[in-house]
Order: sequence, then structure tokens, then C-alpha cells
Amino acid sequence: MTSRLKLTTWLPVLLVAIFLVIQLFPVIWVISASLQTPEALARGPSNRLIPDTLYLGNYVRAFDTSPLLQYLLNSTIIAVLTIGLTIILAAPAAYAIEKMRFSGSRIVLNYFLLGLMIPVFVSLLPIFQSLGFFGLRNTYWAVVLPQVGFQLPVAIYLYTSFFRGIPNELLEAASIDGAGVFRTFWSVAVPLSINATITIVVYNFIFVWNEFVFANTFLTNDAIKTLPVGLNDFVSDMGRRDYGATYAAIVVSVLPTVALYLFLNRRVIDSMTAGAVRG
Amino acid sequence: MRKNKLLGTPSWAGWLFVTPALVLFTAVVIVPIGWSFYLSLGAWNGLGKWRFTGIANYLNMLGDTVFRQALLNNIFFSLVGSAVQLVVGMAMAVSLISIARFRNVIRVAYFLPAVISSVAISQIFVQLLSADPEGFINGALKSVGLGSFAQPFLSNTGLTLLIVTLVDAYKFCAIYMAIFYSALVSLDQDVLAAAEIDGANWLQQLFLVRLPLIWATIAASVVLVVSGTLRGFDIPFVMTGGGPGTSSELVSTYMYKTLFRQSNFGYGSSLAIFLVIECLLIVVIIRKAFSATEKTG
Amino acid sequence: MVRSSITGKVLRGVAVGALSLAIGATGANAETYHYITAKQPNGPVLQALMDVVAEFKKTHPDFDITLEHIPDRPAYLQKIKILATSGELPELFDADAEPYYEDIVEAGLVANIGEIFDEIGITDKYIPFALDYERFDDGSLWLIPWEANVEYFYYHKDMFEAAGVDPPATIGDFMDVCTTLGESGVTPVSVAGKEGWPMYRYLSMPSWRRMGNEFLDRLKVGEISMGSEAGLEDAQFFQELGANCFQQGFASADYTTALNMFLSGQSAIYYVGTWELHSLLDENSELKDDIAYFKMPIIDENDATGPDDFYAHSGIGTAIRADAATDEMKDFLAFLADRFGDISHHTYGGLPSLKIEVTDEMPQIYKDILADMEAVGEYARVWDVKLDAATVDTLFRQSQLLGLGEITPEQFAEEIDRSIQQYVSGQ
Repeated sequence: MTSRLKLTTWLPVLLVAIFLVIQLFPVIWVISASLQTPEALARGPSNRLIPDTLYLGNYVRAFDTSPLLQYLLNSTIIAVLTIGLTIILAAPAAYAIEKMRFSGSRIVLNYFLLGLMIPVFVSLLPIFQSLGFFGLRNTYWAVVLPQVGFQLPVAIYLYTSFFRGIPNELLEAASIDGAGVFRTFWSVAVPLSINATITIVVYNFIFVWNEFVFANTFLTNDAIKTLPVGLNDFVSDMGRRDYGATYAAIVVSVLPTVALYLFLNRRVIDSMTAGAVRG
Repeated sequence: MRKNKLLGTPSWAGWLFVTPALVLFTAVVIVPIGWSFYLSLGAWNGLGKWRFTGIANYLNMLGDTVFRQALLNNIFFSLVGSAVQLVVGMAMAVSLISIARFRNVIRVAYFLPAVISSVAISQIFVQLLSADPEGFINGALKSVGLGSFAQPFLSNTGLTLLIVTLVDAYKFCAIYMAIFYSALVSLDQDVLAAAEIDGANWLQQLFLVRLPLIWATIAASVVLVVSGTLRGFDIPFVMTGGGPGTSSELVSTYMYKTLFRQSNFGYGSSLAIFLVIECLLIVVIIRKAFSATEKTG
Repeated sequence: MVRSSITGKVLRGVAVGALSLAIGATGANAETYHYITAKQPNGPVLQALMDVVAEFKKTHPDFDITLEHIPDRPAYLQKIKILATSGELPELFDADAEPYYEDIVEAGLVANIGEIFDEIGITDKYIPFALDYERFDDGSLWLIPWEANVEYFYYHKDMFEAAGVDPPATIGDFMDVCTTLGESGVTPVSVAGKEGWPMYRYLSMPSWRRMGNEFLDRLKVGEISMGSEAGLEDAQFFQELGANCFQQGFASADYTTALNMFLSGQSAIYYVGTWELHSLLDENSELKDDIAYFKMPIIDENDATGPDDFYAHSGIGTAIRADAATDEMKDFLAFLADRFGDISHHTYGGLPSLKIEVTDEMPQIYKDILADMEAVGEYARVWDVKLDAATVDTLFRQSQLLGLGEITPEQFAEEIDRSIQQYVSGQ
């Protein structure tokens, strides 16, 4: 009994430690590399995890050559709009498909799932032309709408598999209490699905934050460029890259996401404790 | 199937809920694929007139050695990549719920590779794997006495595919950690407590109680990860450009080159359609397999 | 001949434009020209261009050029192709005189730069090879050149000295130099195999020495095989380079890595064009003490091209959309021809496509380069511009494999020939 307990105590800790080292490695490497002088970086790839210099010139150059803060703001706006719209569209759709079971709902679900199979590049040309038609090019929407379209299948898929786990009795109870369809959805299903929503936000965020192809193709104005596109500001004509500034920009682009994830995690923990207390 | 008595909801209410999503999705995703299908039946450089050529593009695929190699690579990339992401993601999630403290911060740390953009993570790994000048990994191999494994990794045609597969898996495995983790933590504590009282050990609890309870989530993740890896693009494109030779070429990178470097919109579109159909078939098979296990289980 | 029925092509261009709906041009007013460029905003070309624009605006207050720069070449090409396909090319954009651009020209989408230059009388102000590089095979010119580049082998003098070797005069010597350098523990050559073009430059050297541009001209239309004597010589040479000269892992090295290796003294030789000159200069704008250069080696005295003939070109050029070639634009181009060369050179240290005066104050290296440009008789054509894009893709893959020793020169030749055959039969 005691030996088993020990195993189940230290094995997870060991595993977590190993995973932590592996997952943190590139970030530590890039932070360390971003603090080295261009001369050191020119000699070869950085091979240190603890920087021997605290050279900040890469950051200065990064902010000088490139409006990184503007990009950061743009990326944030686009991420918020995209994820918000995805959730707003996906949650009711998935709810209807899974819990309202109207005629044709399975077909609708499969239709959405088709989106999981479609590579984004096929859509560039048609979307580009219709964005022009609707006068949306060079607006945040030019990147938001296509991304929402491509994120919807995953979001709907995750939501339906989540809603499947909500006992119908809960919803029935609400509707017996006299709540209409919308009320039942809003005041029963939505609060219950907070964990699923956070998972979906986390999932979408990764793709939205790093999206390159749409942003590069549909935005032509520096003022609304996003961070991943902005990383190319450090490349010169024939492909020569300022690695120091690139590393600095990578570090800058990662920091806000860490903050966001810490915040979201707090929410997850809160909702979990709330659940535990209720249970 | 459970009968849904929930609602005397009229059908229109359901449609009302799905229509906004349906419209946007159709416009952004479905219409273009229809358009691609049309393009795939002809020859077009994007400038002149589209010329109908029937299924010529599809026939060309049969004799195209690059395509054949890309397809094989894609299957490897998808199988190995999916397996690694699911297994590692699950191991991360399970070990995380088994520790008492710091889960919060650790999850954020787990997520770091996922939030670095693909372009950036590719560049970081190119540097790490560099041989001349020596990068971190070659240096580390030499300093721990494994110098015989040191080599120009990204110029070794026998290794590039594995490397881009692993880097891609590495970047995305935290997603599945997050999905599994949130499914595992929302399990009913009473059931787990009961299992513990029954004397089930940790592994038994995991495989006989926890995993079956989140089976639906696992099934969903398999579909997500497989369809994601089948369309994998950024990391191979940036790290190796599909090379050397065709050693790490995927259908999607080949499609990209055909469309935008060669301006061969006909053939490129037929590759896109192929990718869609391939993905569709595989996902249907996976879902069938899972619904079969669900019934028997 | 190719562009005989211009009207028909213009009509077709209009039809393509109309297809893309009445989306409307992007420009807010007629005098603002949007320029999507593959060049970097801090480089000598764009900085000098924008200075000229600023000067021009003093007399033409409504004229303006707005820049959108996409320095990453694949991302740039993808965007331009989307725009072209949608009939929405910007007023100004960058292109090479390659087969796809020929399609754009045939669709009647862009202005004939050659005719405009003649009309406003500025053709003579340009360095001939800079214009020629942008021309199609029929001699027509549809792109504005900005730079004049020549390509050299730069080397570290002290590393050569330490190994006891001299700059090679012949391709055979070059191999020997590599061997000796390699034996002395030095990486002989760093090359950016991931970029493609540096590999093709090396690959093409033997055939260009033997036959001049005739080889490439006939290769691309399928009249001569890569498996011919000259072609196989190329392939064998390149394979030997891969085994004997290039750094480990050259096939995955990017431009920055290969250049940095040389600059930090980790490779002895680096081949690059004068656009990168600024990296090789000291604070007095002279070549760094330790660095010298030599031209493309010859094979022997039976070569078709001489020691003074080598790679010289003007880099990516700029197209003007057909309807943007206004009188005002022509005024600007005339003004540009007067001012651009001086500003580009004197203010930003560039080597412009326009003739500039050689002055005494000029750093020696610039004088030498300008003299070399003057001396060029025949200049080598660039493979990745002249061949069709599908063949260039094949060339890219197969060159990597060839250099890594994974395929034989014969297999290499077979693949290239097949790709060219496919292109030719599709035309």
C-alpha cells in the first residue's frame, strides 16, 4: 500500500518535471539568444540557456525597425474578435444540433465537420475577391471572418461533444419550469459549458494568434498588420534576417499570451472549485 | 440513441440557432472548395482563359513521383504525429492531475511552445539543429559523449521527415493536454472515490475508470489531430521547404508550391481536392471505428 | 513575335479584369501609386526611391508612391499571384523577367518600359546589362531595373595564406583550393542551399564557361539535354562541390547562416552579389582588410566566355500597371533617371542601375567594381529566372540531392530533362 502510494506520488512529479523542461526549453533558449550581441549570434546559433550577456540592443532594434506594439494591439483585436465571434456562432449552433435535434441536424453537423478537411489555401482566391466586393479588405474583418469560418468546425465539434454530456433531464427541468428555448440555452447550457468554452478559447487562440496566411494576403496596410506577419520586418531583400531582433520580437509576442493563459487558468480553477463546492 | 423529448421545440428554432454559423461557414469554406473543384477540371495560370481538361489533372497525379512521395510522407507525418500528440498530451494531462500543487503555472508552461508562432518555432529548431556552425543539439550530443550521433540533421534525407513530424507534434501536443485535462478534471469525483474504495490501483483507475469516462473526448481529439496533421503545412514549409529533395514534402506543401510558385491553379486545385477527399475518408473511418467501440463498450 | 497581337491580348486582359467584378482600384486619387515591393524599406533602393519621390513632390504636390513591402519572397509571390489573378495588381510591383511575368505581359496588364524609356529618352542613362537582364528573349523590356550587381567569390586572405593557396583561376584550381583548405581544417565554402539560387550559380558555371548562354537558352526549350556533355559536367562539378567544398548541412542552410559563417571566419569562401557589399566593408567603405575577391574561374582557353564575363544582373525589377503609365508617371521616370543613381550611390552606398560618374573620392572597391561592370562582355543568365517555375522546383530538389550525393549526375539530368520536356509539351 505504502509503496504504491509512493510510486503514484513521485512518478507524476517526475513526469511533470520532464515535460516542463522539454516545453520550457525553446522559450528559455530564445530568451537567452535574444540577449546576445549580433556578433555572438553571427558566430553561430546560440548554445546557451543562461545568457552570458544582458545585451538589450536586439530589443531596441526590434522596436525601432518594426511597430511591434501596434502589431501586438492588432493581433489582440483580431484574436478577441475572432474568438468571440466563433464562440457566439458555435455555441448555439452546437446546442441546436445536439440538444434540439431538429430534422436535418445530423446532416448539418456533418456538413460543418467537412470544414476540418479543407486546407486554407484553397480559399485564398475566392475570399480575396469577395472581401474586395464587400469592401472589407484592409479591415480587421478581412482576417476575422475567414478565420471564424475555419475555426467554426472545431468549435462546433467540441461543443457538441460537450453538450452530449449534459443530462437532458437538466434541460427538461428548465423547460418544465417554463423557460423557453432561448432561456434554457442561455441560463442552463451556457453556464454549464464554461469549461468547454475555455478549452475552445485556448484551442482557437493558438491558431488565431499565429495565423499568417490570411493576414499576409488580405491586409496590405502596415497599420493593421499582425505579429506573425511582422516577424518578416527583420528580413532584408535577399533573405538576410536580423536574428537578434527576430528573437527579441518572438519574446515580445509570447509574453502577452502567457499573461492571458495565467488569467484563463485562474478562471478554470475558480470554476472547478465552484463545482467541487457544489458537489 | 436517446430520444430527445426536451423540446416540443419547433424545427425552426433549431435552424435559427445554426443559421448564422452555417452562412459564414458556407461562404468562407464550402464555396471556395466548390470553386477549387471547378478549377481542378482545367488548366489555368490565373491570367489567361481557363481551359477545360477534364480529369487530366487527376490522371497526372498518378504518374507524379513528387506527389507519390508527398502522399507517403503525409501518411507518416499524420500517423506518427497524431500518435505522439495524443500519447504525450494524455501523459501530460494525467501526470498533471496527479500532482497536488502548481498545476496552474505548469499548464501555462506546457503551453508555451503552442503559443509561439509556427514560423518562430521552426526558426528556433533550425538553429538548435544546425551542424555547421554547430547548434545546441549537436553540441550537447558531443558533450555527453554521443558525438557519433551529431550530424547535419536537416540535410539528412533519412531524418528530415521525422524531425518535422516531431517538431510539429511538439508544438501542438499541449492542445490535447488541455482538452484531456479539462475532461479529466470535470469527471465526477464520486465515481473516482468509489473506484478507490473498491481498491483499484492508480493504473486501473486510469485505464478502467477515467479513460472510458472521457472516451468521447478522446474520439473527438483523434479526429481533430488526424485532420490537423493531414493538413500540416507551416513547420515543414519553414524548416525544410519540403527538402532536401522530396524527403519532407507533404501534400499541402506541394500544393502550395504548385499553386503559388508555379501558378498552376488547375493541378494545384486537384491536389487540394485530393487532400480533402483523403482527409474525409480517413476521418470517416476513424469515426466509424470509434462508434463501433462505443457500442461494444 | 510572341507579343504580336497586342490588341487581342489587351482585350483579353480587360476581360480578365472585368471578370474580377467592378471592385474598383485601390488608389484614392489618381496620382497616388501603390507599390508592392519585395525589397526591404531600409535598403538603398527604396530609401533612394522615396528620396526622389520627396524631391519630385516639390514640383508635383499631388504625386505620391505608397509602399507595401513583403521582404519574404514566397509570401510576396503568393500575394502578387492572388492580386494578378483577381485583376487587381497594384500600380507598381516587383517581378523578374521569368515565364510567369511573360504571361502577365501577354495579358496586357503592364506597361512597356522599353518603349517608355525610349519615348522619354532615358534608355542611355542606364547601364546596358542592367536593362538587358530585365529583357525577355525577344529583346522587349517590361521592367525597371534598380541595381547593377556583379557576383564574386569573396575569400578570407589569412585563411588562404594559412593553407598556402592562391585564388583559383580555373575550375580545376577551385577544387584543389577546396581540398587544401579542407585538409587544413577549414570549411572551404559556405552556401545557402535552402535558398536555391546560390546552388544554381555554382551548378551552371562549367556549362556557361563552355558554351555561354547558349546552353541555358537551348536547355529551357528542350533542344539540349542536361545529360549532354556540358550538362553532365555541371552536375558532376556540383556533386563534387557538395562532397568537397560546401559546409556540412549546406542543403538546409539559409542566406543568413551561410553569410554569417563567412563573416565570422568560419568558412573561407563565399559567393555573393554586390547587393551584399555593405556587409563586407569597413567603416571607410573599403573591403575589410582580411577580405578579397576573385571572379568566376574559367575552365581553359577554349571557353566560350572569358575571365571578365560572369554573373552580372540587376536583381528584381519593377513593373508599371498598364493604366498607371500616365504622363505624370513618365515625368517621374525621367526625373528618377536624373536623380536616382546619385542618391542611391552617394547617400546610401548602393550600386544603381543608372550610370554614375567615377570620382576620385570614391572608395577603391567601388571603382574596381564599376570597372569590372564596364569590362563585362557577355553576362551569365540566371537559371531560376529563365527556366519555368515547375522546372525550377525540380532543379531545387534535385540540386540538393545531387550535392548531398544521394543521386548520380545522370539521374539528376534525367529529372531536369523530364521537367523541361513537360513544360515544353504543355506550351
